[in-house]
Amino acid sequence: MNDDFLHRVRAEPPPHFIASLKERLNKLDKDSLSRRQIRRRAYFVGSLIAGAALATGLFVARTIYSPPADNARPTPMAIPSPADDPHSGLAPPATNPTTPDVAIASPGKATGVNRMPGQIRVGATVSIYPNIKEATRYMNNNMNVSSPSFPEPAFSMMSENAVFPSLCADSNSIDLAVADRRILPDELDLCRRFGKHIAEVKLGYEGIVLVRSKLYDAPKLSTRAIFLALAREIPNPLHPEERIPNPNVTWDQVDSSLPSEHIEVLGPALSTATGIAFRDLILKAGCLALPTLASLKDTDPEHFEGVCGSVRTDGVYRITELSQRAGSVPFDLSGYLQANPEAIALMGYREGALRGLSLSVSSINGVTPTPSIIYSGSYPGARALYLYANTAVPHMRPLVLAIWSSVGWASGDPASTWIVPAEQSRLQQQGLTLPDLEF
Amino acid sequence: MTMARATPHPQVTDTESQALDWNRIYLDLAPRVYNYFRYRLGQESEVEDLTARTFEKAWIAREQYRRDLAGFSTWLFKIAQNLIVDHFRSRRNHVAIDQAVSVTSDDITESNLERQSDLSRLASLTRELPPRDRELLALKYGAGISNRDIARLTGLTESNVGSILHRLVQNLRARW
Repeated sequence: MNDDFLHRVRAEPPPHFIASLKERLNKLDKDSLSRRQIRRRAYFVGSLIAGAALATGLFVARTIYSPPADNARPTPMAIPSPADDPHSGLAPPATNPTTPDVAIASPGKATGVNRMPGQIRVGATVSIYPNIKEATRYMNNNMNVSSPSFPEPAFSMMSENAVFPSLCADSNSIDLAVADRRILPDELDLCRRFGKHIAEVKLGYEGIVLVRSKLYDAPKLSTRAIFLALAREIPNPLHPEERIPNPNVTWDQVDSSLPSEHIEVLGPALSTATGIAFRDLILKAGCLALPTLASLKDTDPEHFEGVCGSVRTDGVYRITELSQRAGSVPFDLSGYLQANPEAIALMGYREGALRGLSLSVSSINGVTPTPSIIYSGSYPGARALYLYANTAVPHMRPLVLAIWSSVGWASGDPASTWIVPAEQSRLQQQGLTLPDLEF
Repeated sequence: MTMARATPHPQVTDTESQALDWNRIYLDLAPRVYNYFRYRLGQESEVEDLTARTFEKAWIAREQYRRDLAGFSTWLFKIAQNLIVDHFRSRRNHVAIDQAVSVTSDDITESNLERQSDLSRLASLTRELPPRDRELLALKYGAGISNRDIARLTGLTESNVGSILHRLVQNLRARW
């Protein structure tokens, strides 16, 4: 379906509008925070007053109306013999034999009892969250994990910096973390200090590819060229310290060794797993190749994220639903790429492999992705995904296995996630045993 | 795990909400909401105002969606849909949306003029379409929303959304 003319109508909002609206939203945040603080203080003071009043009232009522303690026990019909009364001579008699005091068992049992109605809390980094969410949906549909014996876990999206401290902290922590990097020795030490046993399971690999129809050669690209072709703003060639809206139209404008072909890239929404992986792995790496932008990473990380992770919205990158889901009208990607020799599609490695017969894959920084290349870590468009589990938490093993077997196999977007077949049995064993991680 | 963990502790809530990169989310969604209104109105004026009102309504309560970014996005566009309905209601006696485009932008570059002209053409071609079809076009091409999410927002089935859009695009392309 050729709908270029409709995409062309899109326009970039004026930068001054975007900036001024963000300022207004930030101000709203501040106002709301101060209002919340005032409300919280008011609740706190109110609770103190109410608590004090209640305690005083109870004390007065007890003093006035309570009968003497000796009368609290019902008068027995017959005096039991010492052998019949287990409390006799050992402890004061219970005021009411049906009170739940007996439910207070050993601390270990109490923990177990309290966990059952609760949920295992899973934290996933922002980049892998869409994948994990999709996998969870698949897992719930296929494994009935929401049955009473296996409470459905609660998932939270967390920043890379927050996920490991949250797993390892003493309180308010998550029980299982999914991240796109390995835990650091320092972070693992924190877990150990709080007596937590953490197991590491490699979930698989996340990779993205840029492809063309097999009828045409896929260009040999670099992360720098891709950034200059698709970033929303790039350094002004005349004054590199300034940034300008991306004016590049052809590939030879971003790299003279590339052909003079129109830049046209089709891909999923940038909030999908594939879109996030593209921004993290390719765009930001390309941004680091430009000195004026690379320096932002240390001096102003937030600005770096904004500038280096933003894709142009002027129609050069076209959001296209590539996945052929049941019930939807499939977008004929192969047909489109065949009819448009200059068009390139961004997709997850797994989806690319599935469609492999009709596609040619671009190399990035001189590396063409294959399973063994991805496994070796040398393809810039791929990374390994890890899961870290607190092994002391009940139901952890079945949950880890369920997540492991769901990631990459769920329907929907996780086309970018993929598990090296040769590693499957080893990883499954790892998921079954959850051995303590050692560095 | 204690019972208290079943309901998130306030401290956890704060930490988690800070963990979300709302700046990135804003930069991703703002152009999409902006373009949704452009496609829906067929003109530039009032697009900024409606975009700002959508975000202001959604922003403060966004913490509720800290675990469900897709939910936040759907909710944001639901607000945008309600605003556009209110907007048309309040302007019933004013100029129709398909009237000539007024070029209000200061940035009168060639490409901008071209886009204005495309927008004007789209507005005139969609003049006779029912509101539902104009809404589907704005959600798909202005907001860049998937058919599945459009189905959620409009109450249609995903396949129905796909079929209607396919027919609309064919019809518009023939007359473009």
